[in-house]
Amino acid sequence: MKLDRPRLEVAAILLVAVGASVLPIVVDGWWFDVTAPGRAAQMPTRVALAGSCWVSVVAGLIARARRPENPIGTWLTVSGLLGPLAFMVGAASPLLTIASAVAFVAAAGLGVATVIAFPTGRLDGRAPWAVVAVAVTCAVYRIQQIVLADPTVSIPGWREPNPYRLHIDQASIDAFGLVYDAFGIGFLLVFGYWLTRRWLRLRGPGRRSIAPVLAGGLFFVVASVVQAATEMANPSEQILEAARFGHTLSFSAIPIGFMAGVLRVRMERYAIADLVVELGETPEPAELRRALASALDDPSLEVALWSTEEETYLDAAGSPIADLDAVAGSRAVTLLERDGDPLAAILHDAALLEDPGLVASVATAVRLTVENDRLQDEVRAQLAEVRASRARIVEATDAERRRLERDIHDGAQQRLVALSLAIGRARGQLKATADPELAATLAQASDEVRAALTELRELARGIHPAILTEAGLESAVRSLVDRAAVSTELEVDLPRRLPGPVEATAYFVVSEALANVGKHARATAASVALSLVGDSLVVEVRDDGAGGADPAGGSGLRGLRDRVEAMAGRLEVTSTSGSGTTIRAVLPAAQDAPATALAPTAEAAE
Amino acid sequence: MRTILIVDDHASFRRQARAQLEAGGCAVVGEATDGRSAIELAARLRPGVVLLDIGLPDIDGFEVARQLSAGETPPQVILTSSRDAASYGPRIAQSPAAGFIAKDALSGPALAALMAPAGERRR
Repeated sequence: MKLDRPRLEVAAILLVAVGASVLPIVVDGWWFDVTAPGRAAQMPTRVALAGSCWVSVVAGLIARARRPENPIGTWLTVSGLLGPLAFMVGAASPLLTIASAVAFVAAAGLGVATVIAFPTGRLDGRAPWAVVAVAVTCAVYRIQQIVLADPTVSIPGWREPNPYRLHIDQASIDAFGLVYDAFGIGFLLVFGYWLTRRWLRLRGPGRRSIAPVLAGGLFFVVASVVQAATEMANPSEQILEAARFGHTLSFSAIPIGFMAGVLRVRMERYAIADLVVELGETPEPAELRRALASALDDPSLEVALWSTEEETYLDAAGSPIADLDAVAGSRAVTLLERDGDPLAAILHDAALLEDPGLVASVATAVRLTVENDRLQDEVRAQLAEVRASRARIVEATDAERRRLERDIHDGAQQRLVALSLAIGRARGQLKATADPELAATLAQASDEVRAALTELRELARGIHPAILTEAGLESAVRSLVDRAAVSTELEVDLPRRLPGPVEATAYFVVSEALANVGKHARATAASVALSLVGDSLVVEVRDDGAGGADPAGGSGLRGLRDRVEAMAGRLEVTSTSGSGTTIRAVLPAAQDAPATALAPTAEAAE
Repeated sequence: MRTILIVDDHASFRRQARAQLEAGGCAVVGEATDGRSAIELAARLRPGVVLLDIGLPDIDGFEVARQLSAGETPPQVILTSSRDAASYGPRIAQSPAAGFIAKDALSGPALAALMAPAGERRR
């Protein structure tokens, strides 16, 4: 595995942390007498201190990994590293003592700053700076303990005399002590007040990550107050040590709170990942807004979708937004793009920006949803276009066949009729002259013309049945039934004429089905039923024949199905061997359906 | 002698029909090429029979038949077409026309066979 820079850095920091935790033990062994009375009782506090410092270092490393540009991670790491050193007050070595004093001030300042500046890492305004300043002052003032105290008296097991001890009278020492206590209490009050106020004012999307840190800070304050109160009460050494232990543990409350916040935010991101699933296929803009606002806990959130037609963002109501920033007001605007083209804009609480990962997750969720929506719209539009063009092709074909039938009727048929009449007249005129040979020829000609006319009529009917336009679906189907190969019952329940293409399709269904009955079914009887169910025409042709018709097979049924589907209808063929065949077509036949090119009114002219 | 008005938009048919009918002993008193002029001419000429093509350029033959039959002394209407009667389903039976004759079957006797006895209407 290649060790990149961040990994090396983490390794180095952890190494320093190990060193820092070991340091007091080494030093302790040097100037503490572990076997001295009371020393063993202090061990839990020592361990708690090392543990708290470790928690702080780890939390700091996590914070740095998540957001390298935010100084809070560094602060947490450094304060954790300084912790063990900071509590080596009164060490025999002058250098260590000075280092410890500086470490204490720095650790205290950084620890408090972490809470105050969370989560931005900035100390904005006077109040945050004041709180940190009080903490630092308090820590600086604590140095007086080193200088004034006599550790051989106050700390059990202390062997060496304090080399920095000031030899002043006890009254002055007490006075210093009072001032220190006042500072300490003042700090706790200010810090506690500030944390409580922030807690009460917490709202919006940052709440879930900030609250645990504030809770950690408050826990620290409460533990400090308890410890101070315990010391003032002057209890037994055992109780005092227990209070110290609790206080030391409370140092870890802030980094633990930080990690809890990270965990909650991570779960929030899972919630946003789930959002994509929850939003489903095509969320309404309002639904999208509601889901995002709820996932981010930001009621002020709005989503503006980009309209490619209008080249602007649209609000939830679909109205164009002229100036996104003006609408956003104090909210932040996150723009989503796809291949450089705008897709949507999210207007959200600016506090969300403090967690760019969260915003990125939301952006991904919305992008996926919106893109999905766009793609579906495109597919739907294309499908609609294909359906429409399929219907148009069928209608155009119908119109063409109607035109052909009319051309035959108006042209060749009329000429043949005239010819037939002329031959008839010639035969009438011939009777006078009585030329049998000529009469026979004319009779032949007359038969030929009649046969030609009959064939032409059949041809024209095959191209387009005039009866459909002249007399409607019922009459047209009745004529089919009358000509059917087997005895066929007809049942019709049509209260009105239907759009031309629908009637034509229904006619062809019956025509093809009855032709199949005659050709393949070996049936003895059949029935045809036409009925209008709601706005749908239901066509059903049954026979009692051999069955086994394959809807996917024969080109007749196939073509029929294509035609029915082109009219947005559906065709079902139920055909089990031995129990006959049922062909059922359901065709949408709303009255306002377009394309009534086959309507009888358009056919008045022959 | 029967007086006949021929209504058809095809000149060749009118010519053949006139010859056929005149040969059969009918008097063709007029020819009309569309529905409107047929109604006008029928009112003016008062023919006994109107041979009426169903497919006319303006009003269809069924409507012309209805209007002709609504008059005070309606002529007998015989519908005709180059299509067969089946192409019109029940419409011929439903019309006030006295009968239908396919164009190629037209002749004086065929026409006479369709006529109801004078004064009696088909419907």
